[in-house]
Amino acid sequence: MTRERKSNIVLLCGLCIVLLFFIIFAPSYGWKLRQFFSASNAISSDDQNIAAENDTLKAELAQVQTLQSELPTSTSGDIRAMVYSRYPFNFKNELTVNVGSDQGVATGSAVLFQGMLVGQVQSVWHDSALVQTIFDNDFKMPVRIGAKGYDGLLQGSLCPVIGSITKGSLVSPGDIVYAAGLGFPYGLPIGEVDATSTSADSLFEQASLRFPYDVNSIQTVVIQRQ
Amino acid sequence: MRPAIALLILILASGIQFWLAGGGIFFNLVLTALIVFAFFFDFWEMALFVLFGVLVVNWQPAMSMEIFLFAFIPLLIFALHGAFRSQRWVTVPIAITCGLFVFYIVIAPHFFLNDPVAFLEDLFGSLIAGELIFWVMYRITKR
Repeated sequence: MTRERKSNIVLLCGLCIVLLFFIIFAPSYGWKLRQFFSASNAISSDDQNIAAENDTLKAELAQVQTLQSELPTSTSGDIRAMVYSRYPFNFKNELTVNVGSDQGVATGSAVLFQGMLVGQVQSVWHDSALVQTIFDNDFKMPVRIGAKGYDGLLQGSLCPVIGSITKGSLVSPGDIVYAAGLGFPYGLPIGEVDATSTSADSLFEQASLRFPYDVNSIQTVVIQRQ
Repeated sequence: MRPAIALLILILASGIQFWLAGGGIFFNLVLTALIVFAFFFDFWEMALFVLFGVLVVNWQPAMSMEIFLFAFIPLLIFALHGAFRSQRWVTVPIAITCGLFVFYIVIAPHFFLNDPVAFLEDLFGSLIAGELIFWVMYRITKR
């Protein structure tokens, strides 16, 4: 082996050690590199702000009209977080945020974007946390729809769908969908009904959703304290 | 010169992969680039490229099966490529196809079975990118 080859190998070993150090002890540098590569994800436009605010108000109205007296008291205090990185493949839909147990984040906490439920904390480290979004294929939660509070089951996917809606329910496009699952504050808005249809087995109705935001453009979230 | 160009290709592949992912289009370009590099570089150069790929692709401060396979598949192909060095124009696309197939089957078999079209779309984009990367590396190596 020539001297030049030996020195090249030593250099390569050194660089590998440096990269290993960053991977294990400072992964945030890799995330910053990815953010640099990613498309510029503008904070939502005025239209998105207004639409999200509209959905939040609709959800509050649905609560007042039907079940306000049964609402549990919510805990105070939110933790604001930046989205560090996203799951890089197309099997899941997860976000990594820059707050963790040191800031009071706990597994199972609801994660909001502009007042709307966008996911749930799945794993927590000291200064970061992993959030499973409602666009993840494994995400499921009970929801209610509209002022009459029709029950349904939100199934996560790139285009989330609400299934198991009782046939004959008067669910219409534009109806607000809000959280009704264990572990989530009741009444958190999720989205609006886009269209309704009958399930493949004709036993239930189902509804597709529309959202006033693009999950790929989310840069900041709010994590509710448990 | 070759490692520098390869690193540039890796950075470009990362950029394009994450830029497309922002628009909802998923191609495993970084993994594809690493698989192609397995046919052109030595072990330590491959280790460097794989570690750089892991640094950029890893989305959480912990090990996962996805990252383990992401690093393992190119290194496995590196270990096996010696038997097919003379037929790289054929074996590189086969290696990319097998690598992606194993990646999908091990990480998300339900996803693969329920939505094979997503795998085929990923494979199509990755094969095109892989052939392009191979052509560049081949031309550089020939000089």
